[in-house]
Amino acid sequence: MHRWRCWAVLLLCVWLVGAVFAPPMVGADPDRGSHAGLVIRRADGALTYAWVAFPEPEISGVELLHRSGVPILTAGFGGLGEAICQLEGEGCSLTECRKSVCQVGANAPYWRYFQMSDDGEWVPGVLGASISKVRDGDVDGWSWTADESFLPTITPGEVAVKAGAGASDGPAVWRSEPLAQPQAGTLRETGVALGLVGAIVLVAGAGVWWARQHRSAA
Amino acid sequence: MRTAPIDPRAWFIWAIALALPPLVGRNPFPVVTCAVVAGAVALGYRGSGSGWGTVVRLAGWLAAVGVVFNVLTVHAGDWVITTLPDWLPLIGGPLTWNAALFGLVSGIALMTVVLIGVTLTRVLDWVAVMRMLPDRFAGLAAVGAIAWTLVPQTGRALTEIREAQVARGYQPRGVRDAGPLVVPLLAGGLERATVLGEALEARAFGSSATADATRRREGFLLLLAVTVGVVAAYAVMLRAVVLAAVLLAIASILTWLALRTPSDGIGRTRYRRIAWDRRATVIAGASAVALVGELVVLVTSPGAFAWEPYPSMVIPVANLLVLGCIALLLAPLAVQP
Repeated sequence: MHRWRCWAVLLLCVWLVGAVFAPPMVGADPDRGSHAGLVIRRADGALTYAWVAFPEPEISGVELLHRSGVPILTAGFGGLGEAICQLEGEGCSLTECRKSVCQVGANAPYWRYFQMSDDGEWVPGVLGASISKVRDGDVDGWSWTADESFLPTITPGEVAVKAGAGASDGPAVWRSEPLAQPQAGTLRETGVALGLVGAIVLVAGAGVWWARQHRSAA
Repeated sequence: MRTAPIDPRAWFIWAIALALPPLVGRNPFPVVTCAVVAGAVALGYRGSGSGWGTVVRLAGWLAAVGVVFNVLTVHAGDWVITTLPDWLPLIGGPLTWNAALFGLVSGIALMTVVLIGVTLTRVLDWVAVMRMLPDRFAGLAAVGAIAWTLVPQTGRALTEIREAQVARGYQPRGVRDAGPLVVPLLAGGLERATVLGEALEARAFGSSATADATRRREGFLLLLAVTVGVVAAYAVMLRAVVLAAVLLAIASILTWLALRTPSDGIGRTRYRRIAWDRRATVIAGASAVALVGELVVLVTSPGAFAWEPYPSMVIPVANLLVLGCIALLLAPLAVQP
């Protein structure tokens, strides 16, 4: 009887360990809603993995990006949908995006959209992320590239594990490299510049006054 | 005593140097400084009855509309004002302070360019500009000068008609009362156009001593050159630098081929040449220094001119050299207006 208890405790421990560390079962439980993965590759090769839960049966690729919480900048083109200008702080400005959707040359990179096929291959998205459908267990890929995806070969379960899914109810995101900070001026530089602009305003005002005085005198 | 006009070339250098920052980027520091300088010079050289006040007011309205349009259509940024329902087409989504600020800077840039154009219209000696152009462009220059004065002339005519109608008891209450203003304005415009056309005809404007075949060939080459030039501009937008350079070279050769044909035999004479005086030297010198400084910064540190508050609001980079260069463009106020 004592041996049976030992075996039961051991099996319970194994089950608990497995339940804690095992990757989530994609699409196994319809009550838990849908889940989809994201793999984002920046220009320097840094990777971001995200695992997003959503209650609907399907959402668009752009909606998946928005719900993942990764920094995103899009340009709306009305009925044509949204263009991805920046992901994770990388990409082109909104002005450039509206002009050319970041494609500034023949071999210039842009945020290229891929979808993982059933056999794990990255297939270029032909419909665009605003129209494409993401269902439970799907994985979308985004790469700042002009041709090849350079996205890693991975399974949906591995994406969930890398992203750290299960730690909270919200989207799980993991980055191989921290995000770069945007170029911005410092407060000291700004203060000096504001002082210089103020001085220019004073000189301009004095110049207008002098010019008018001179003209009225003439 | 009427002051002699300043050489137009000095003004053109000034205008290019001042228009460059608002045209190449939306960094608030250079854009606002350019607006201050353009406004000050426009005020310093303001003449009476110039007729451009309506244009400046219209540009102000367009800038304000641009701010609203930007807020309603650009749903990017981290400083959210409010969120409109997604089912609203085009304007549905978050409205942000980021979009409002960028729209405001864009409006100031637009106003700056308009003020530069207004100032040029006031200060340029158009006769001198026409004389500076090659003989072959004399006709084009005459037409351009006439077109450039159309807006202020129409503005002045509208003011005169309105004052005359008010003196007769006219009280406009809405769009339906615009008839007493629009009809005389149209009739007056047509009458002025007829008189101008007769005056040009009486001076043999547009006549030519060359054969029709030569003129057709010249016109065809110029048309081809303009077409290739437009394609080159498109190549520049696509960053296809080599293709753009080749196309520009072809356009230049075509232009040269068109213009190397002998002139139509009607030469122009000059009673006196415009003098390049000290004022022109001051304006051109300061503007040239400013332009070179701006170009150097544009090549070495493009971020000094660029700024976008999307997706997050960041403090714009302040380049003191650029601000100093723009300050030099106050030089026209230092010389006798």
